[in-house]
Amino acid sequence: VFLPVSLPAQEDERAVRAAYLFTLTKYVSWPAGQGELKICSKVDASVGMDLKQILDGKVSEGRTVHVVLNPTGMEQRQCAILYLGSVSPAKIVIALQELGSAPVLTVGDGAGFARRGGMVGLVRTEDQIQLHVNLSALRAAGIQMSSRLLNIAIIDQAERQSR
Amino acid sequence: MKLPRHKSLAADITLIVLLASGLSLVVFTAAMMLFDKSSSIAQSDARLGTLADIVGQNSTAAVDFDDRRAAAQVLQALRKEPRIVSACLYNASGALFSAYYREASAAMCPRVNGPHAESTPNLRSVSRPILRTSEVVGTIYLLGDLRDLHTRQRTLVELSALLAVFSLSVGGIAGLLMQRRISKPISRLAHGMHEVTSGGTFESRAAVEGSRETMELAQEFNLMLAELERRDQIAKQAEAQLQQEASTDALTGLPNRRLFLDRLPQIIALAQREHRAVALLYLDLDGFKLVNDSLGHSVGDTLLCEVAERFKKHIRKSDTLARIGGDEFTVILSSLHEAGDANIVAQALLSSLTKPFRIEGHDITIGASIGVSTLSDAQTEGDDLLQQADSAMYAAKKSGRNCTMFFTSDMSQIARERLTIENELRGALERGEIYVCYQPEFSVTTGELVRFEALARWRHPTLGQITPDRFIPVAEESGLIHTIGAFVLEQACMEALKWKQPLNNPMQVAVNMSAIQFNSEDILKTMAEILNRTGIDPGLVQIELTESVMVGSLRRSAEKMRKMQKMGLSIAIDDFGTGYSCLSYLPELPINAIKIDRSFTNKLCQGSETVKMVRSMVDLAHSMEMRVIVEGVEDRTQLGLLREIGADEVQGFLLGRPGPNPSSLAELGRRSDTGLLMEGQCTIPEPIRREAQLCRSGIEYNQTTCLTEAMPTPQSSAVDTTGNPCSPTWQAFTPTQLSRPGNKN
Repeated sequence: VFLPVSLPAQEDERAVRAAYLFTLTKYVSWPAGQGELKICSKVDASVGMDLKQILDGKVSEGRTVHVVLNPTGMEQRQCAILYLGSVSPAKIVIALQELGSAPVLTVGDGAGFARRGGMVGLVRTEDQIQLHVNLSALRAAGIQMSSRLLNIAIIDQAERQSR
Repeated sequence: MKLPRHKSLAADITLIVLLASGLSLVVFTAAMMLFDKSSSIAQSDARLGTLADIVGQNSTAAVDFDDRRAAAQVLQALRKEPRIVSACLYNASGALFSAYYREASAAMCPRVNGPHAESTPNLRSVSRPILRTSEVVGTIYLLGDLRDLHTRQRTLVELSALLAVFSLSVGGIAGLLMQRRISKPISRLAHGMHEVTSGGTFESRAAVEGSRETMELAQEFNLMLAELERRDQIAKQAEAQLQQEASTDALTGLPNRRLFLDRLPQIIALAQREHRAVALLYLDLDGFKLVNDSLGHSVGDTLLCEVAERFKKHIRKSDTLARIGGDEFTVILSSLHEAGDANIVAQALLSSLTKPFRIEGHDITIGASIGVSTLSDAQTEGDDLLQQADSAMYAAKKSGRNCTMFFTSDMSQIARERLTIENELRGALERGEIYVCYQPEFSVTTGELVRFEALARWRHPTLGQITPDRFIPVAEESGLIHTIGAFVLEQACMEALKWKQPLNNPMQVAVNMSAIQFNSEDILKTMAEILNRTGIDPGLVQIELTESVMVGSLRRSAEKMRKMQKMGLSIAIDDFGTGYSCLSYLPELPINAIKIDRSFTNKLCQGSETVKMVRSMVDLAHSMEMRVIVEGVEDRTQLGLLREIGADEVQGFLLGRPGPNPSSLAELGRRSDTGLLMEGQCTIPEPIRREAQLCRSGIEYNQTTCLTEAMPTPQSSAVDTTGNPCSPTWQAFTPTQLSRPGNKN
């Protein structure tokens, strides 16, 4: 994994985020953690393409990564990670509702993502990307996250919302 | 004795205790510290590793997500570990990701693959990979400081030193107390030994106490003391025995000469203080030499012992009996009422010897001569007393033996004279001063001359004529009698051969033999030699022995006499009736004749008792087939009586005095048989008278006054004025080949 010391450009930041997604898989364990590791994304096509380019075919903990762009409603429930990118809070709610209680790690950009019911938010602070984690959301989806990751993450208390 | 100041046992023991405890303490402490150090380092290393692992574990996510702040926070947690000097976190590519320094001055983190800082005693480093499950995501490097460990150890050392000081003090005191248990018994033992050496006695014993070794030492010391005591006693006994032996005669157990000479002055001093008389008896056994020579020394020794035993019974406890020489005894009679009492003791001692001694099958008769000196006679000196008793003893010996003499002042003179005689007698024979005179013996029945008796004479150039009674005893004592006797025998034999010519008839010769001579080992050999040399018929020689030859062993004497008879000699007993008047020997001995002593002849005219006695003697001899010769016939009355009694042969001044040239006498004697004896007149033929004159100086000592009265005055013309007893006038009568007895040939 190539981890640049700084993030000079937007393309580079995309790569960093992709690397973060991949690294996340190493700290997270799913209820049915076998077979193909599907990383789905509902982002811009260019971002999606970059993601697919970087991550597709990688192996994490014995599982091959398969990037699925813009999955269907049924498809997205089969994903291990659903990367939503920088989406509006409304879209977040819709996406989360579509997933229901499926064990899919939801990842988004921005500080509000985790607070709004997302599981992991990748928040850019200064020259670093900070992880924000919503523990109740993780727990609700039956996904476990390594405490080592939690040690470096900021735990966000989710805003009360109905599921 | 003070020993040089040296390390004492006590100090040694204390030192050993201190050294041992100190050394063990040091070794123990060192071992403990070494172990502690190594275990502490291992523990510290383990802890460093664990810390590195924990920090690494906690840093995986931070490294993965490139979260430096989180990594720094994780490393900051090490601040609670004071030992950690620095911590360095590297990412998977080896670049330093995060670092922690306790102090700003700490060494910078090394390159991850570069050489780590050397592990020094103070600094320990550990490098661990950071693992996410099995994937290495980075490396953690920790540098630990062990300075506190060393501080702890230094404290431990200080504590140990303190403990050592304390325990050594305690140990030293304990050692001091314990060494006393060891050294005190030894000191006491040494003290005991000192007592022995300074006290000089071996009676004390050391106390057996303390340790086993010390007890053994004390026991062995006591054993040694006992042994020393035993040896000391033996040495003392030996010393006492030596003292005893030095002052005691080993043979008889009596005091010896030394002790006697020691005691004599003491007794004299005591007696003088108490004004009591002291007498000294000096005893000399008569004939002891004969016993020793004839029967051997063992018999002589036994005899001395038995004599001593008999003497002991006759003296008081307060008197001192000592043996001061071969056969010489002394008795100091202290506390006498008067000096004359000594005579009673002397007589008792003499009479104790009358019963013969029976030793090794021999019946031994022995006499003693006793000289007595008393304190009143002496000055104060013990030596004088002894000298006087000695002189008196000699006088007693001379007066006929077996008698006692008290010292008189003229005895000293006699003793001195005696010494002179002895000195002069040596060499007298070689100087030709000894010569032989001959006295005729006649047959009573036929009046014929039957024999000449050879008599030794001594004429000294300055002392003049010395009588046989003066020099013969001296010759006997000095041993000169052997050569003198042999000389007389040889002279007599030669003389007898000369008579053959004038007489045409063999003439017998009588030769006196001293008991000393008779008892000598080689007397028979000497006699045989002389008889051979001269070629005389032994039948012509009569040996005259005195009764004293019976002193000693009668059996041996008889055997010897028989041997002499076998040689052809005849044996006569001289001076019969005097000496040891024990007739029991008579039948035992092979005797041809007896010669009745002149003392009987002298008394013949004085009374009938003597006549009876002589008659008995004659009868006795005849009954035993012995001839009887009577000597000392001086007048015709005696001659007449003897003829009547039945004596066989006579000899005396009446009939012929001893003369140097008997061959002439032989002729005269032959003539006299018609004149003198048959006529019974008291006239002496002229030649005999002249002959007698020449040997006058040799007359017997107990010659009586009646003899001199009976003797006519010799004619002065017949006296040889040259002093030579063998006058040249007589050579006219002598055959020319004859030697002159008085001159040296």
